Amino acid sequence: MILLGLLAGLSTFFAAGYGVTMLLWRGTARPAVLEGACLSWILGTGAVSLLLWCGGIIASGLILKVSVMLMSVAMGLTGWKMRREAPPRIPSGSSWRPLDWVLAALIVLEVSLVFFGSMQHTLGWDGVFNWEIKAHYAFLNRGVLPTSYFQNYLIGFSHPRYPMFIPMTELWLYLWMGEANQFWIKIIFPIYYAAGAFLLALLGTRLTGRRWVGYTAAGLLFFVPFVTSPLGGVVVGYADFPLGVVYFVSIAYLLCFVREQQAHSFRLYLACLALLPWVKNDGTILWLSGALCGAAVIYWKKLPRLYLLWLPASLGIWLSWRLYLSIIGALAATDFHLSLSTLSANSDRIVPIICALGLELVRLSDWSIFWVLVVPALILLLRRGSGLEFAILFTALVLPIAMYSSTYVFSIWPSYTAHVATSLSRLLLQLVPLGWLIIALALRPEISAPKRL
Amino acid sequence: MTGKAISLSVVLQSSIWAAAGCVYLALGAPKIVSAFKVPAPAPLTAYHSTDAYLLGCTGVKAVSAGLIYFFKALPSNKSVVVFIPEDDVCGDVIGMTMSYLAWPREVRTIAVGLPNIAPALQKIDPASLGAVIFYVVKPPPSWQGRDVRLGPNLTVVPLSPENKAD
Repeated sequence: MILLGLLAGLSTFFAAGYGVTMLLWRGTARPAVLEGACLSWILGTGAVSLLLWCGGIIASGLILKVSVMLMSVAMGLTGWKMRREAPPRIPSGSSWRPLDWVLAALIVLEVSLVFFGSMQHTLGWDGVFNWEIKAHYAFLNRGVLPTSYFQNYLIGFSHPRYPMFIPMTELWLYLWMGEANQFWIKIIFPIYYAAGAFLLALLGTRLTGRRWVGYTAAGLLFFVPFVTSPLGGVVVGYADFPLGVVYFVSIAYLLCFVREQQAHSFRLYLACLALLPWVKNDGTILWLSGALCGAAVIYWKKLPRLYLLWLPASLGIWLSWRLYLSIIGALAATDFHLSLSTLSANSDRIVPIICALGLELVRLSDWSIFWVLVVPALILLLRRGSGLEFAILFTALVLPIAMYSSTYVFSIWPSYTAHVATSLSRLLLQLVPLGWLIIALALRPEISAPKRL
Repeated sequence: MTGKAISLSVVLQSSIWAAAGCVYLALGAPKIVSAFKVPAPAPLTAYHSTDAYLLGCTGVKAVSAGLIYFFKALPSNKSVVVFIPEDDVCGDVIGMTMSYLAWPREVRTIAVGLPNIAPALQKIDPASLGAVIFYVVKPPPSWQGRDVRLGPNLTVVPLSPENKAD
């Protein structure tokens, strides 16, 4: 029964996500099955988690579950109807070479290994005490976290102000399984890996015009040691890799929009951008970087000003969450104190933080030479003269690293170095899928480089 | 001539990328293998992770469900106090895991120096407590007899209304 419930719960994510995907994809040829499935997972978990949180404000128990289920099914049916009405997909026309098959098989094997690794490991510290704990408590309270949870300093270690994307996704499966189950809930994280790897392969192929390039990037993603690290990787239920996937997808569709000028690419970029701060607080920094990239595209491509309005609108989910926290009187956050006086008092931290960042980027045990490869890749992209594309990728990668590093100046941990040591690698993990897209674009044979943008 | 220069450049660039890819794989792959080696996977229980944490700290297997059963039996308005030793790496794990399992009962974790348990006990109000848990810290002799020992490090003492903290 638990497994049946789990399958039903997972299906509703895909159903809801398919509806959202097709709504965003409207007006153009239907997406490829795999691309549609990956997007359905990402957008479906986003939609259902939002529905559960919003629905939980006014309902609980069976009413909440049935309402969210009906809405998910309705979204799925709408998506199916839109798919039937959409023009059929135009095949790419390029034939599959033996190397493509080998790389595709490698990606499938790696995804299977990530599933296996996730089942082997327990949830990590944050996996239990930041995320699953909220799903567990909400499950015990008829699907809703009581407001007292947000006000209780004794539970402050579980970071009540953190957004609910992961907890509500886990809660939805608990409601279907009929119990809070720390073993089966881990399944959502390898699915995120699969969605990220497959989309890296597909979007890498689309953006480079070479299947082997996209598939190679996706195949090599697995070999960044920190991706599967028990200290914060995808196998221990942390939010950083899912956040990295959402960010990569957002930037990748923005690049597709730059290339093809298709509205659905911009809509997908915006949808993923809006989800970023809902996945994790750090997502606000990624949102800012992604929004700057979007603004650059709107300006550079001389798009109507209306497009600019969508960028602040995409912060709506985060603003709603902050409003909710202030209305219920949630405890204040305790990790950072952002003020000029803190900046002035802690300015002596800047050099040690830069040194720690440098050392982290070349830590072979965590990254192999991944970050060392990203640097020449960026230089190559710059040399090829694709100005806007370079500007987007440089901003999307370097700005979050700079901003993440600066936050430690404002850390109020007793030891800021301990703060850096325990979290910097996880923050960098959020940029790994995007880093692989950058390498893929640099790997693209120069002779087939597209026109300057 | 230009075509030859382009192809040379492409060959050189491809060779550098291929070599870099080989170095990347050679350095990364051994780490991946070690990440998938788990000495003893935890049993497949609903409390898979908290069971593993408690097993690591107390040596007791699959204890989460039993503790939840115990906490559920306590009066709902009573809180729980967990005594942990100062500077014990497992202390925070035990405190947070008890908070997780005892919900919605409040759990207060108090770190004490090992010989100084009596003053810490005097500071708490026994009337508000449903249970006291001692991790590594030994309960005073007068508390023994009503305690439940879970492995060598964890002692759970349920407090009935007439019990008083010494």
